[in-house]
Amino acid sequence: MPKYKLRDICHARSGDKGDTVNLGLACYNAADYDWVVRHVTAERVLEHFSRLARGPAVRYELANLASVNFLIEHALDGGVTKALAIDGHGKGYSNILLEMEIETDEAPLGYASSSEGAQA
Amino acid sequence: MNVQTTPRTLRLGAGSAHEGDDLDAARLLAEKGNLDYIIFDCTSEKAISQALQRQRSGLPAHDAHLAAKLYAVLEACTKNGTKVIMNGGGFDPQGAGETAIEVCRELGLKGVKVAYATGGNVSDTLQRLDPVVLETGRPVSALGNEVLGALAYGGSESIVEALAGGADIVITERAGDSEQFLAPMMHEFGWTGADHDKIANGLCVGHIVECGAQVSGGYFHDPGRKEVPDMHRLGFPIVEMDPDGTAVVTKLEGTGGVINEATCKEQLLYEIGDPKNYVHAPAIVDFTTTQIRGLGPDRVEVKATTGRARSGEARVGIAVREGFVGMGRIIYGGTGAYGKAQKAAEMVRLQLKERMGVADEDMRFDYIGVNALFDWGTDPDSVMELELRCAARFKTRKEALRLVAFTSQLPCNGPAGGAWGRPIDQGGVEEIITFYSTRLPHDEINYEIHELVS
Repeated sequence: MPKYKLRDICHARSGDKGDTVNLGLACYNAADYDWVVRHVTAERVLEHFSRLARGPAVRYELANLASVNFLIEHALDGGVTKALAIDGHGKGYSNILLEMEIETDEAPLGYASSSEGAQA
Repeated sequence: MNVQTTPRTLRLGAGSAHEGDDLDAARLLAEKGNLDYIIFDCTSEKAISQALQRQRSGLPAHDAHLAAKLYAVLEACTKNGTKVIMNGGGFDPQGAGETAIEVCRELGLKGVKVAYATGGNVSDTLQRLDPVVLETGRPVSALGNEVLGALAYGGSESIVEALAGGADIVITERAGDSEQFLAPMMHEFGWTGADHDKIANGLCVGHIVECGAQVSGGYFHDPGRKEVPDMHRLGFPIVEMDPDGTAVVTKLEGTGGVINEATCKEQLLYEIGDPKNYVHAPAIVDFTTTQIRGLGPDRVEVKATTGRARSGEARVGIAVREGFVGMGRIIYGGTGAYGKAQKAAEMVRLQLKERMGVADEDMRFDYIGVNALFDWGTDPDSVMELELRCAARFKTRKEALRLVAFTSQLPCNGPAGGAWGRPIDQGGVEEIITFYSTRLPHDEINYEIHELVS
């Protein structure tokens, strides 16, 4: 089955609240929102971060912004103040998420089909 | 303050996202933004812990850059009738107010009215009520005698009160970031606590711009995907707010950066939890109704956010001393660089363990350039140089300094191929101040406004 990297479909931003990381994932093309909801589940994202985060993980949907928001608990080595890990703020987690690959026969439209991609 | 007879579009500028932000961008906003208000977010957990450390050394415990921010904008603000709102009072709001007056006098600005709010320092109230700490599930008293201080996140009320009193500069101890943007909207448009949807729109756009340049091109550039022009002179965001709660996010023409739907969406998603229940002191915000629409270059409309009544409780941050982190770093190069770094890490691990009794769970070794952020699948043996980063937790600064020493001894006593950098390359020691949170009923926190005139 073909693999699709999230970076080719979405952009992202992440931040911290204590030991919980928030990962906001937005589609370049709003038409890919349903694809993201189907394939980028909380379970898969937690698995992608399994070496960094213990979980649990939840996903919230924002169809109005063609975006989803993940919250993963126990993800920042105790939180920024006491973390020994480098990224206690979890700011770089957004770009770790974008490296995640989804294996599926269902092709997303992706970055190239978005207005940004069309201009590039 | 001129009383507005006809509500019109308000222009609010974001002057800073944190204590030490770019003052040249703030100055440009004050000079050319045609602003009604310039709003400085001066606070973060890091800023508050540094303020507490300054307080212990007998130094001012307000935003250390407060005077610099005012020097950057005040002359333009006075000339253009722009009011200043900032949450840099910290643990010394009176000192912050007096500093503002001193700056006004040094700039020769007479008759400037400075209002500062007190009441958010709730250490005594916490001792009396001993509420449960959200992170631990145990009472505040169980945190012991290492508690350094506690500060409530203020709402918009005290800012609104100060503006109603005619203040030109309003300083709070720690008003919430979005609330600082909401307050002038409530004051100018006469919104009341019952206008939940309008308040939610104000908080939403406040949330989008509170981190300053993070919505105008900061933390956005991604080569081949999202390109940002002229990042060396990013323009800070401006909110144009209509009385009905419809906002436009924009920036000054000719400044660097970009504001588009994607930057606004990313910033809306930043540091939120459940988007239907974003809890703020004035309202609970529902971001799942928000509409974000590009209107043209660097102009994005944000509207249709909805809100519900607030929780009736204020969040309080409690700063607690929890020891020290020591860190050491060294770079290895050449064939087998990873193996050399691993050998060095094992040396430091055994030194920490055998000489000091540090447990494995209190130390960590990262290989920067291979897998320090994430296991990307890089073959470590293919890497020709990498940095070893050794970090561990200690009870005292003196103990933590020994880790720095063990690492700085590696260029002589460790494996081949290690570089010998400057002391600043080799690491250092930092105190751990952790923030815990609890909630207090609003009526347990009594804000008071104090006024000074230059």
